[in-house]
Amino acid sequence: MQWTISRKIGMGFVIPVVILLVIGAVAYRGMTKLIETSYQVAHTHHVLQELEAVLVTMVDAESGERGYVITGEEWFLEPYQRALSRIQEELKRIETLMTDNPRQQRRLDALKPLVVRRFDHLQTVIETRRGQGLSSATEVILAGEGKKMIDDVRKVIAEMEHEENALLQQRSQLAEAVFRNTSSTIVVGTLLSFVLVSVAGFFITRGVTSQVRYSVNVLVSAASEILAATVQQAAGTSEEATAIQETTTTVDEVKQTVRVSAQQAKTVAETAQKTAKVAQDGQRAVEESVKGMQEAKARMEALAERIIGLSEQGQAIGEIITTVNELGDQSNLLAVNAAIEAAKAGEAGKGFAVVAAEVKALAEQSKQATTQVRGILGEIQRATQAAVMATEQGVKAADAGEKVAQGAGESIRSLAQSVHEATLVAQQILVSAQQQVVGMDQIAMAIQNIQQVSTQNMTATRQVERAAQDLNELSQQLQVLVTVAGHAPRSA
Amino acid sequence: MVEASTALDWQEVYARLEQTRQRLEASSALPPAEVRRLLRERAQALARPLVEPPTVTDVLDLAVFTLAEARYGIEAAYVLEVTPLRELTPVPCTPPHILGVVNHRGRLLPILDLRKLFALAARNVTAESRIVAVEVGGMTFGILADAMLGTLRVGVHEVMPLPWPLLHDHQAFLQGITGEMVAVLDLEALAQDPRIMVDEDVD
Repeated sequence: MQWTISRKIGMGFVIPVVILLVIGAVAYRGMTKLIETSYQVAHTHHVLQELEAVLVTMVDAESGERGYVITGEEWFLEPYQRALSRIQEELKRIETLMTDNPRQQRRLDALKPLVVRRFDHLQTVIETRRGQGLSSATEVILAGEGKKMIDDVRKVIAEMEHEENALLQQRSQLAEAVFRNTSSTIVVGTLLSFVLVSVAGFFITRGVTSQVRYSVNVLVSAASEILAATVQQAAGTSEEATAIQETTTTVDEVKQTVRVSAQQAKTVAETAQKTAKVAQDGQRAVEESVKGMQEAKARMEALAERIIGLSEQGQAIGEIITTVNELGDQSNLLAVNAAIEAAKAGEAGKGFAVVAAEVKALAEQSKQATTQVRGILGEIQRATQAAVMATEQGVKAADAGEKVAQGAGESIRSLAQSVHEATLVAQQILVSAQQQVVGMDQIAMAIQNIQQVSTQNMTATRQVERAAQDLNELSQQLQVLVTVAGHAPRSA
Repeated sequence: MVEASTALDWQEVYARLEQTRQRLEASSALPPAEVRRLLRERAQALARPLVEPPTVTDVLDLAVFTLAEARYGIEAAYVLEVTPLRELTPVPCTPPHILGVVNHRGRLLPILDLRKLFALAARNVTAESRIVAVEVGGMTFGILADAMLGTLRVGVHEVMPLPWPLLHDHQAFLQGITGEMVAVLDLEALAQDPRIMVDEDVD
């Protein structure tokens, strides 16, 4: 069990004190008992005296009676008278003294009537002497009654004295035993307390010293640790001051940055508004372009119709050409027939044959021309087809262009939407940047406060450092003290 | 999108259109000098170098036509007229080489298909198809030709006998072949062929 030093010391004192108390109590009780016993012894002696006095009184009364009987002189009765007046008082005193002893009281109760009777008898003898003379009185005395009475009295008193003597012996024995007990208790207790105090002193000294030494060691190391910690804390505090300085700088920079970003947000908002305007213009342009595309489509469709009309006219030309071709064929046939007729005519039809050949040539030329025209018409047809296809493609392209333009319009609309949102966001950024500036100011203020606190901390830390140094020195001194006081330096 | 035709010069387009219009108008009404010039050009083109005309008795005037990629000639003396093939009426109960009949200047003219007769590849009648109406020994009929080429005057001596026997037996109807590779039909032989005569009983 680990006891505290105070408890150990307390125990070291408490045990001897308890022993001393016990010794004191025992001595007191022994003294009281001795006093009581001596008082009782005195009491017994007093009782014995009183009993002796009663016996004396009885003897006095008897001697007075005898004197009177013998002489008949009244003045011999004086001892009797005195005894008579004294006996009651004496008996009463004895009774008072014997109140604490019932056995003696019983004996006293037995004694009292004996005494009374004896005195009555004495009276009777005296009266008999006075009235009847010496002889009668002698006769009464000779009857031996008086003697028997006094013997009884003596016997009772002797019993009582015996009792009291026994009591006296008993009480003196008791007093002796008490004295013995008390003195032995005092001697033994004193010795015991001396031993206990010595042992306790030894153990307390040892325990306390080792504990104190241990504590001092702990204290030394703790003090040095505190010192180290304090030094470290001082270093930390100065680092903290530096860090705070840096933080302040950083906060300033951040503030600058926030201002810049606020400026940028403002610029963004302005730009976004400009962009929104541009987007509006773009949308209008897209609408116009869509309209233009639709118009172009309509124009191209009209163009296609015109081209088809031209193609139909070309077909009409083709029909005419067919007619011309037939005419050529007929002319050719006519020329052949003419040539045949000319041949039949022989020499006479020679000139006619030349004309027929001319006609045939013309007919063939016209046929060739129609073939050419047909070819050209075919080309025109192809060109028309190509033109119609191109127009169709143009219409499709216009359609696609319209769609693209509408897509662009949609894109521009969404762009405008985005720009609008961007404007809102930029405004929010602006607001939050302003709030940030305020917040940064607050942070700067807080950092200033921290700086002040840090400075105070530094001062406090220096004080603590000094205190720690003092503590360290003190603990070392204490260690030296303990080491000197202790048995041997166990540890540093 | 279609690539924008690189800057179409509309003024040039209009100018070209105007030129075309003017040319069209000009062609419809040629000035007399131009007409004369054109005619002269054509005459010069047509003018052939004069060849020594052979003696009248020795010459043979042929009406030349094509039939199955070959050229045939008929003596002009037999030819009545060359006409287009119109309103052909098939005649039942006739041999296959008789195509049908046509109305030729109020007369019923049977049409003979030499393709069938000569066992040549058949061919449909086209716009070029012609009827050569002939009269041989009081018999009048039409010969279907694929196309009419014109007349040709050759010397009699120029008509050679066929240099190689033809695959089919129609060389009996040919007098010979000229230097221009024109097979000259022997109409007399043709007219006397019993197949020309239509004499079939109809049940």
